[in-house]
Amino acid sequence: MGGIMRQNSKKSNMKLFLIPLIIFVLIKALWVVVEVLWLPSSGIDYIDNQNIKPLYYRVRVDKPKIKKVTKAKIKKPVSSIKDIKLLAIYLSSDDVVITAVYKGRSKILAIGDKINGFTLVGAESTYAILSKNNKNYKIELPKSKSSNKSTITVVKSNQSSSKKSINDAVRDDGGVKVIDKETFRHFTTNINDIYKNIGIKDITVGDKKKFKVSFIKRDSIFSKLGLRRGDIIKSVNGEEIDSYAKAFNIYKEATNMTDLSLVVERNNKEVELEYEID
Amino acid sequence: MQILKSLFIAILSTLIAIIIFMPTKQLYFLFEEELAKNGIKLNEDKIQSGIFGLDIDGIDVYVEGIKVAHIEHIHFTTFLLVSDIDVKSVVFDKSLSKVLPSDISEIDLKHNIISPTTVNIEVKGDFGLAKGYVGVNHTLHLDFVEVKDISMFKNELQKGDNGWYYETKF
Repeated sequence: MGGIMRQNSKKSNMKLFLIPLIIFVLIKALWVVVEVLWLPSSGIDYIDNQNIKPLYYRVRVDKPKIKKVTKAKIKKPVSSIKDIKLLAIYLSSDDVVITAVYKGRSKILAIGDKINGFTLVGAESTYAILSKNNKNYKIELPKSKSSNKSTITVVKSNQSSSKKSINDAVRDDGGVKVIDKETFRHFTTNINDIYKNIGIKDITVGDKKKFKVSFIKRDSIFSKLGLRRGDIIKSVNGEEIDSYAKAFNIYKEATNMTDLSLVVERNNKEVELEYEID
Repeated sequence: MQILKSLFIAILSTLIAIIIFMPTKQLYFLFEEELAKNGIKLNEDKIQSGIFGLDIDGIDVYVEGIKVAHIEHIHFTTFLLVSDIDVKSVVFDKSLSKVLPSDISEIDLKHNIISPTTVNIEVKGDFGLAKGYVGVNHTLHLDFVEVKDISMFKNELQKGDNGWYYETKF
């Protein structure tokens, strides 16, 4: 009797030992199958194969002839848009979105969207610019919570204090556009300030990216530089801009630049814009 | 009783076997592949898998080919029911210093089976201490419980009853 019980106990202990052993073998085999069939055997590393060319500097042996870039005419608004009220503005590095109310109905607008026939063309932290029939309108956020009316003002094109500072920042020196060094450095270290003044959207063509100017703040340094909405930035100082990495590398190197040369695609034609930084 | 005992041993053995035989390195490579689909690539100096996790040293983080940060060390631990990711010393590129804190000393992400849809986060850095979660609907919420220097990203924060917080959907 005792012998039979001891034998049963031995069988039971053997079973308790065999169960985990079998499970371990099965699961190991299962993981091996998963590993072979579905899991990658190596990781994905970033390989820097851009072969960046040294920055290109133009050497002038005679008085340079700068290709003239015709200034976009700033259209003065001539009427008001009292039915549209601005409720909120959202500005980010790559997007501008506003909330506006027309006839009691609110609408969220991105650049290019329309409300009552008015197209949103730009915005700042306190106001938005809308356009209709080639006329621009500025609507401002209500100044206090008690007031639910947005202020509508006519955009004036030639006498603000910021305009004076922009004139100092970009000056014409005998046909050469000269960018003030301090202003240039400010933008090279404050990326947010760039995006407050100019919107750049990426367009993917095959493997490459193109960078298109989606808006330019009126009276900003970027409008003074001759850039226009719709321009596609093709190269900076001879370096083709076809990826975020290249654009960012140039941005990082920009602090040391003494000359700046931009090639932009405008209306299917290449336009070269050149500047000195001094 | 004997059946119950066998069942308990079988379940315990299964869990232990899944954890210790888990190909952590290969699962990490799969994670890298998923990140790469979103333009994020990680270059590591050293990857070492252990019994209950994975240690990675010297990670450079590239977004769209731009080096944005360097991470000194990441430690993944998983017991299936409870998982933990410890990130030590994240240094962002100087060019981002106007929008991101330059130095994050520690990030701790915790997940447990009790709340499967939430990952708890704790972040320490030169900005102070933030605690929050990644929840359902891809929401990231961070409460800044100790605030030092947040000037660089204050515009992105909102003020609530319990102080500054950051919330975004991705």
